[in-house]
Amino acid sequence: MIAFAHIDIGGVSSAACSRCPTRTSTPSREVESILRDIKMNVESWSSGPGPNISFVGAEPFAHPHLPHLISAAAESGCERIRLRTDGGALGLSGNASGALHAGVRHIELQMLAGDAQTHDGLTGRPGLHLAATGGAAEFLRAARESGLDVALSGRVPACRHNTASIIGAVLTLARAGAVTILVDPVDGYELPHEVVSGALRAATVSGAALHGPGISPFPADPWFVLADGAAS
Amino acid sequence: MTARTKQRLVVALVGVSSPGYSSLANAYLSQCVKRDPRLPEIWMSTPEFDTATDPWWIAYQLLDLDVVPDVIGFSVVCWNARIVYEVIRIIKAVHPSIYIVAGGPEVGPLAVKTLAAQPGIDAVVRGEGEFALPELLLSIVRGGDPSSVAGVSARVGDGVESGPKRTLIEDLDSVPSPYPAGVDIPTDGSAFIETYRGCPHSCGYCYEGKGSTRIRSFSWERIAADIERVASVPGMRSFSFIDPVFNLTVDRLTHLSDLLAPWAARGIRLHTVEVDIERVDDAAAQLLVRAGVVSVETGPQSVGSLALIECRRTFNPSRFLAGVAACRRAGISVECDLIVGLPGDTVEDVLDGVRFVLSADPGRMQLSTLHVLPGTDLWHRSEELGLVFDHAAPHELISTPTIDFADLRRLEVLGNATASLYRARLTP
Repeated sequence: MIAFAHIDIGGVSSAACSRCPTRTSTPSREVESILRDIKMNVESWSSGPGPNISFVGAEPFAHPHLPHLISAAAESGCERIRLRTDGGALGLSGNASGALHAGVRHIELQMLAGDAQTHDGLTGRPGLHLAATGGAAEFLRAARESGLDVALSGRVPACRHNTASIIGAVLTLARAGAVTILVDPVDGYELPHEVVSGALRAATVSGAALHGPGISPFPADPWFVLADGAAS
Repeated sequence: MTARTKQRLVVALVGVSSPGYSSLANAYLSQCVKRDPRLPEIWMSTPEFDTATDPWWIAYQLLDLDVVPDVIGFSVVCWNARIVYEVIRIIKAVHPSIYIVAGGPEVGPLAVKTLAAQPGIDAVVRGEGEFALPELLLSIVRGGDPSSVAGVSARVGDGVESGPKRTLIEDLDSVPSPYPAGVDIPTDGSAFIETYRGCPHSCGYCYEGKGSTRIRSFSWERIAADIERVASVPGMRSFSFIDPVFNLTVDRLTHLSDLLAPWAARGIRLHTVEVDIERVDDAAAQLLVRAGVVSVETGPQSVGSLALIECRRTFNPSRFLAGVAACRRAGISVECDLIVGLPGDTVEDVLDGVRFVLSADPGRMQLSTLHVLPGTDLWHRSEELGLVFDHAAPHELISTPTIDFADLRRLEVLGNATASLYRARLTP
């Protein structure tokens, strides 16, 4: 796949499971610190086509300096800029087209469950599921209108609280247009085999490539172990 | 069609193409028919449809023409065959007397089988149709036997008979230009120019060379005239060439660059010309730029050694990478193609191909599953090679001895995903 260096902007994702004890808030990082990380990753890039960076951590659209960070990444020579987002802000007041024209070509949408009740319940954010799928649609629409090539990816943080909902989350992301979906066990959580195989099947028939630690549709291949974050 | 001498023949040559394309074949055929002095008055139309159109609506539009055609011809390729056959079925149900002719790479190599399988088709033109079709029409007009025409197979009573093999057209300049004065030429990139026929390669999955590596070229005067005719259309922004190898030789590329440079200077761009990338160096890349080329398309199709042998392809990784780099330095985007499921390739070979293309960083990549096309070497050897494929068009691969059905589907998904991720970038 295409590797991305993860640039942590600090804080906790708003799409994380609220029942997991690891969800603790950390302050947003200073802009200068983030800019230094961007520069370092761009200059030391050696992970194939790129450099590519992904802003992770707290919801990026909540960061007051997001436009500056995106511009800095673009000006530093990034080929691909991605935002890991809960999707809620994507559908609001020009955010999607704004991000697009600033240089964002990749969105990684986070989803805990395929149904709104479970997703909103686990995140503690009523209405987030609907906003997320709407935001993804808005991003893709804005890209089509602008004639720009973009890619929607998905991330399903997996823990014991959403195990039963992972396949649903994968299907929702695939139907939203995600071309790749990362199933990402939190804190070393071990996914049941039947959930992994079910998620693989659901993703494949929906046209999305599923990946994650230890997950590959093919016999063990180190290339698939090189999931996101390998370059950071 | 009853045996009678017709004073007027109403002919429709129908193109059903992928969005963004139009039928060059029908453009040639219509000019050849119109200019044949032996034929009576011809009322000719060349309706174009795209493959997204419901075949019932295509049939409706053909049957709703001001004058119902006597003859309807279809250019059939693997991508449009299912739609075309459905259109033919409906037309024949409504007007059994309309004479249906089919031609093109999907039906030409399988003329007799096509006629057996498609009762709505009355005749198939095998191979080049520019002179075969007018002779077939002449036979119809005179009440003769279409099956006696060289290069044609046709229904005779309850059976099918075939005329002798027609030799390839030696003097391509004798074929009227598809772009004479008065013909509308699209300005949006879907106009194509042909400068030669044949292919120097004999790749097992491809029908381009039709079993021969012999090249037949139009004259430079003709090529120059066609370029001028297309490029001078008001509002022309982009067009392309259908030649399988644009950089056939250094001399040829130089000559084409000389002809195209004045138009490139006016902003006209050539997109997706096919090149042999291993023969592109900085000098060749500059010739391409001078010609207005903004994007090229190339292989490697596979990097697996067994597949390369089975498909009679060569591959030099370092020359390939050097060619891509030369294009990129010149600002030309390169689309690298990979075919999934070539005989001999394993899953790992396909993944190696993806890794190789990504390492070249060409700009775009495309993976597509093998389609075993009629008349190709792989078609003829499919049993020997263990290729299981859909015998109905578009002849998609089902499995090979080294990649099973499920893994083929997974590779398709992975390939599309990787291509999408790769393509989404700030610099094109």
